[in-house]
Amino acid sequence: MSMRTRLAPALADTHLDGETKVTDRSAAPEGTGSIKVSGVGYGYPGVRTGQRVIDDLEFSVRPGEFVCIVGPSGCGKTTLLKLLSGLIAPEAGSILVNDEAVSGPPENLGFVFQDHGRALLPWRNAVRNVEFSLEAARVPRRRRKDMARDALRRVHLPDVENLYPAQMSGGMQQRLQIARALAATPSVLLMDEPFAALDALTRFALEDALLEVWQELGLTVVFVTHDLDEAIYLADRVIVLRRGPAHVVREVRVDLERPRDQGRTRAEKDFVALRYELFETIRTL
Amino acid sequence: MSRTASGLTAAIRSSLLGLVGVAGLTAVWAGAVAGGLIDGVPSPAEVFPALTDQLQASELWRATGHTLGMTAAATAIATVVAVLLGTAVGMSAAMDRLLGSTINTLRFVPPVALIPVVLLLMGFGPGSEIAVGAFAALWPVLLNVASATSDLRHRFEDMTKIERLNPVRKLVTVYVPGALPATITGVRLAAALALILVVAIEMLAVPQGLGHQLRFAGDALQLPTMYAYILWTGVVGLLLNTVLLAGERRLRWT
Amino acid sequence: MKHATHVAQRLALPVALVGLWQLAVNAGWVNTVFVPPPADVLEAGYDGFTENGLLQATASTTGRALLGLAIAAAVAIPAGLLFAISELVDSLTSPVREFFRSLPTVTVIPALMVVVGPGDSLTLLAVAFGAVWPVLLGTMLGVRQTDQTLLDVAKVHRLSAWDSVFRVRLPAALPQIMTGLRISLAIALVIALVVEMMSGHGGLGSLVVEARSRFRNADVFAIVAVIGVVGLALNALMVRVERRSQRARVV
Ligand SMILES: Nc1ncnc2c1ncn2[C@@H]1O[C@H](COP(=O)(O)OP(=O)(O)OP(=O)(O)O)[C@@H](O)[C@H]1O
Ligand SMILES: [Mg+2]
Repeated sequence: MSMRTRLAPALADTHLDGETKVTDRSAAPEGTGSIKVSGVGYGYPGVRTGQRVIDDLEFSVRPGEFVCIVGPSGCGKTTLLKLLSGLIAPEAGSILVNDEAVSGPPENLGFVFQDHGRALLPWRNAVRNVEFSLEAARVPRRRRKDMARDALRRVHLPDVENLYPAQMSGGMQQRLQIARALAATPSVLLMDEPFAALDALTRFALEDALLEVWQELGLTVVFVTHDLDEAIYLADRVIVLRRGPAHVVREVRVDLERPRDQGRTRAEKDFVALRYELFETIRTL
Repeated sequence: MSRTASGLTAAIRSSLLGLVGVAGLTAVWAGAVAGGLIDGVPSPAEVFPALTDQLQASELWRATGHTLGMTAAATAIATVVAVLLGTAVGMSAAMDRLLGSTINTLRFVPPVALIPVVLLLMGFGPGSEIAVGAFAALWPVLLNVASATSDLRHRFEDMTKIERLNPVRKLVTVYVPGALPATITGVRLAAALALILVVAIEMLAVPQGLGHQLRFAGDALQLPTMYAYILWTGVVGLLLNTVLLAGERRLRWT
Repeated sequence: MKHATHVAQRLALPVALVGLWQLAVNAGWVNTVFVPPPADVLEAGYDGFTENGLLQATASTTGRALLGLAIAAAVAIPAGLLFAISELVDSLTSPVREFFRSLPTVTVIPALMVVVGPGDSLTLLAVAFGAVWPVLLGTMLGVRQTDQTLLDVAKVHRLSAWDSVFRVRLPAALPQIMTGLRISLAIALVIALVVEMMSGHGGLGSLVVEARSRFRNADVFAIVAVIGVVGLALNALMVRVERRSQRARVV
């Protein structure tokens, strides 16, 4: 039994006081939260036809795993997330999410975009933005508010319910986006450099909030970042992509103790060693 | 506290200066007429009494009601058509190709040019006024709605796919609320244009409303009355703009 | 291939509309006295250009609109600059400006007609009166919104007030001024036409009124189409000029 199937009902139960579960996790198939990418190739239409951005890409993610993807700018990380989420379809190979071939964005998948301006609706306040994804998932009206408040609390954003995105800082908006992605209880969460535009302290706080939520909910997370330290700090496994066309050059297991701590973990010998190793790999790309 | 107080003083100062400006202009006008500098312009001393006379007569109010009614009808029809077309064009690239270039051709046709054709087809009555007013009022709303909707479509393309929104839901939860501010601005501009065209066609052809009264007074060489109507039409236009602007501010972000 | 489909889609609606028009005439849905068939309109347009002075009328309307616009710009740009820079003058003139801006320009035509009589000066005055407002507004906005850094640059270079207006503020306001001019051009054309319609003093406006009063409806349709084309062409011209002014700004 996967971690996902054990923890998800707990989410629904804890905060809804035993109301009917939102999604019946006990009926979830064994592969819930798994990702399998095999032989995937993709080239943007019209751009130097024949030249693929991604070719023969191969990797998989276990349910409940936290995987970070790093690689040089323009190597195809965003393209990969778009493929995983079904926003675009691969030209070759297959992508399975929750053991099902992806054709269009699957249910139970959350996406946190790099640019919150392209994700949050400026005419809805915080709660209503979170409710948006619950509406889309056809959650009955009377349950939405509680679930939305709950999601906001998880990312440490209480008391901002009535603020509009324009009245929030960049970090708050990114938290709000994460809350929205979590609200509909996804089993897979894809994140595209979600903290790239934030200052270091805000970023630390959000990284910890994310890890906390991930451990509580047992999500599968695929997290794209430029920042090696961030990748090591967050991940169970770091996948290094190289450019032209993108493929996996390296996979590094991160066995640092959890829960992690911004000060202690980053000072650990293993952390520093991993950082050195990854840096040398990327440098030679 | 002190900032609002000083802001208030500044506002009072600026309105007082504005009044001085109005008084100054009136004085210059009176002086120029008295000094014989301009011919064919009645003095303020003739125009203001004419205006008070007219304000007590029912004709002016009936004409004002007629003109504003035509303006409202034209704006309303234009808004409905423009919102439908603009949303369609903004939502779908195929609709844009189908309608876009025709819209971009028609919108540069000066609306007054249509007056002769509309008169041929619909005669010298309210129908023509509404048709010409609506033609002018169509474009600001249509353009605003189409560009706002198309911006929203591109901006939230990935997000709406991830949330698996069907087209109806996308329309109701993203396009309509997102394009609302631009729509309201468009309606305000549209109403101002409709008023201009309604007055114009009344002056040119349709024997009703403020435009007709103004032209009629001019043709009868009752210059003070004509100037009274010009002033009054300006006041009506100013009030309409002010009311619509206030309405727009109020509707924003609620 | 895809390109061809797109072109076909763009042309579909205009072709369908003309087809509908022809069909309506053929099937007798409309009275051909009021709505002439497309072919008659085309012929009337051809005759107009070759024999009936349509070309000359087009030139004279366009010329009046452009000249009136030039007068409007000559007044509006310095005035806008003044209003933007001097708060006192701005406050003094603000209600008066708002009033005249809200006043439908067509209403001043009969008044001007009494003062200057029908003729070119009437058209130019009326056009300038109508076209002045968008340029004025554009200038005021552009000058007021000049980037503070630019103003600081001017200060650091110890430019005189005069120099900083002509070397920094006006050039910075150019894009907004151009946008104002583009809007004004549309108004200028409308006002020129209305004056011509009212005064019967040459140009496309009086031509169309005359054709209507003689029930030459094919001519009416043809002239209206020509007016549409003039509007389109002038706007295309202004858009090009406006783009150029904005491109210069980016560099
Ligand atoms: N819509 C598109 N059309 C054509 N080419 C594209 C498009 N989007 C991306 N590309 C190209 O595909 C390649 C990979 O782009 P992608 O955005 O996936 O890179 P990335 O790894 O996310 O980069 P970054 O780290 O800078 O975000 C780049 O070479 C880019 O030029
Ligand atoms: Mg990217």
